[in-house]
Amino acid sequence: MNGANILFYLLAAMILGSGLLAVTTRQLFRAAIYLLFSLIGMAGMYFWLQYEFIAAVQVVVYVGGITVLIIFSIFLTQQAGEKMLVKKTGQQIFAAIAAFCGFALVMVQIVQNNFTATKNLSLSPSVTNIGNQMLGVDKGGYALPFEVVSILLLAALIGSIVIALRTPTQTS
Amino acid sequence: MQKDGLEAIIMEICNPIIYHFLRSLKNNSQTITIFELQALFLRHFKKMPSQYYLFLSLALFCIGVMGVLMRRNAIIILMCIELMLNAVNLLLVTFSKMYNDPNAQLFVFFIMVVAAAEVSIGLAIIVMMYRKVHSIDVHILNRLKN
Amino acid sequence: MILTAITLGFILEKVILVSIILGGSLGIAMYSTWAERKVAAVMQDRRGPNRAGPFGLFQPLADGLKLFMKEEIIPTLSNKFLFILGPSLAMLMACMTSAVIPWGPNIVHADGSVFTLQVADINIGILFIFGVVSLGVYGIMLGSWASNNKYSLLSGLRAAAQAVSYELAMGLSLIALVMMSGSLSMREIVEQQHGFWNNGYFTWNFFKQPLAFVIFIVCSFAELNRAPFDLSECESELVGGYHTEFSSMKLGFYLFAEYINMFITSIILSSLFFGGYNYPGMDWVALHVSPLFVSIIGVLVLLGKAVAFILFFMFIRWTLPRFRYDQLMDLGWKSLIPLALFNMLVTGAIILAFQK
Repeated sequence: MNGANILFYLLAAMILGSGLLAVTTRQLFRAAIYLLFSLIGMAGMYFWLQYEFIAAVQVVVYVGGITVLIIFSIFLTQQAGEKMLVKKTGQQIFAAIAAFCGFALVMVQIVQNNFTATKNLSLSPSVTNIGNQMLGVDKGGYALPFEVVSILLLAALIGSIVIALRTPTQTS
Repeated sequence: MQKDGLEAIIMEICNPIIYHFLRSLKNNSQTITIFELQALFLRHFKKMPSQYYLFLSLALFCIGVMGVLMRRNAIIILMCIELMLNAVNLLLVTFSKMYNDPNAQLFVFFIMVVAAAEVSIGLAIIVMMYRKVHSIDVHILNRLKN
Repeated sequence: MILTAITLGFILEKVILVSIILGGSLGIAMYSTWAERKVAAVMQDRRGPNRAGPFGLFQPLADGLKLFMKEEIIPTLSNKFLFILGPSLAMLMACMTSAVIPWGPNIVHADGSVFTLQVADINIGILFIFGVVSLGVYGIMLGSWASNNKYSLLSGLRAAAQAVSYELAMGLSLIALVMMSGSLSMREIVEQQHGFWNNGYFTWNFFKQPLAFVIFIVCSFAELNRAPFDLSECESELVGGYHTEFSSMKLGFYLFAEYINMFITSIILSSLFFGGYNYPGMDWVALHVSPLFVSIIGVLVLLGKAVAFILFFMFIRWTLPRFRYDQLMDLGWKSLIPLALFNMLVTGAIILAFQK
């Protein structure tokens, strides 16, 4: 047990613990707050893995954007203090067993397949490299996926506006 | 050999190899800054098995799956999908670190974009659904079944 | 024991720096409340606070004491944990941004050791600021939800929508700046604005990116929830907004966090656009004054710029009427974001043209 391990275990406990609480709590707003802590823990993990840029983007996109949106829609659809309905106990037990079986199955696979780290070239996850590769049109460039993803974002933007538009014929 | 507070802490949290390395540096009267210390930490960290990260990612993914199966609130289900996407991101970052491959981290950005699009559309639909049926319970949508 | 000496010194250095910064921010935030009242009084032809001490200078202390003494009320039907978490988070996020701000030029000692007037020079400083700013809205949202009060809830909704939509324009305006300076580190961006005049043109980013500055300052009004964008706490519609149910020091935390945010935003504005600790004729000063004084003058210059911005924020608050909510959203989505995109496009084109 040393410093590196302790930090890893702390972050992992934060991520898993708050993730578990987020899916099991009966209060929707609390679930969103637990999700928030889980995502912040994930950003910490990226920092620890020395991917500072991904960590910062994680904070800006997930914590600052997505979770705010989720809380926003909780504001619009819930009453304070309202408890959520849950499924029947049998279904819950079945869900837990299914998730656990999946976990065990993949776990066995990971343990059997001994991943070994390669040491070919040193990776520098600097912002410049990410930008060059993201917009590169040569081999290993990601210009086309980048464009496709931006069109997806545009479509999502227009789509959510259209969905949220109140049509004139609507009576309520 | 007398040790004062900070040295004892370093001895305790670093493993002995790093500690002796630091001491040898000290004997050469080289100064060592906190950044070098951090680099030493990180060098040591690389020896930690990457499988732990895979286990973490897998556990998070399974928590997400469990949530999707267990809950009947649409917003919670969206949140569980976010957890699962996060687990995949962590997996990609781990493999990127393991194989020194910068391609994986670009996929992380693409996944984040897709997640943002998915959440915005999903929440718009949920809010619309609430306006129509005054509930965000996914079981309400089963009505057409019987 | 060189290792111990240096690391211990390093930790001590940072601890002292952090405490000075936090103490200074708190002090300036306290006196901002006093200044705000005085400014309001001047604009409305009144006298303002003048009972406690000369010119009412002890008024903030009296207010603080009053807030401490008041009875603390937690509504019965509220969510206690979140109710306490809200103001704490607001305060924490207000204080966290100051970590990446370069407060002054490095102090170089005679023996070659360098004392940096910056808590952490991380290479993604601007993104850090962004992240913390986007976290700032959680204080308001948690508090408003936990109050279990309709007015608070409406205020929280308003604050969240406003923050999310203005963050976009803010980010886009900063991207133009980052494209030009080619770095995400605050220290480097400030260093690039050295002096005031270089090779026949101004060095400060304000003169290179005036449009980005205008967009950024409008967005920071919105992010700070200050007039003319204080839709989330407008008394005439929502009683008190998100802090209707809060009392005693929790209310104090919310009010304080707002003023600290204002101070930090002023510092960020002056660092990014008005040269930070750089000022005209700093090279001449550096030759004639001892290094310690050069740093002190730099810090004072930065603080002076920040105070000017704080006064500007206050003048705007007591001059302009409040926006309507649809006008606010129109301004954010239909004017500022297209303008910021246009600015980005023009900046990119100019950079490409100069590269060729």
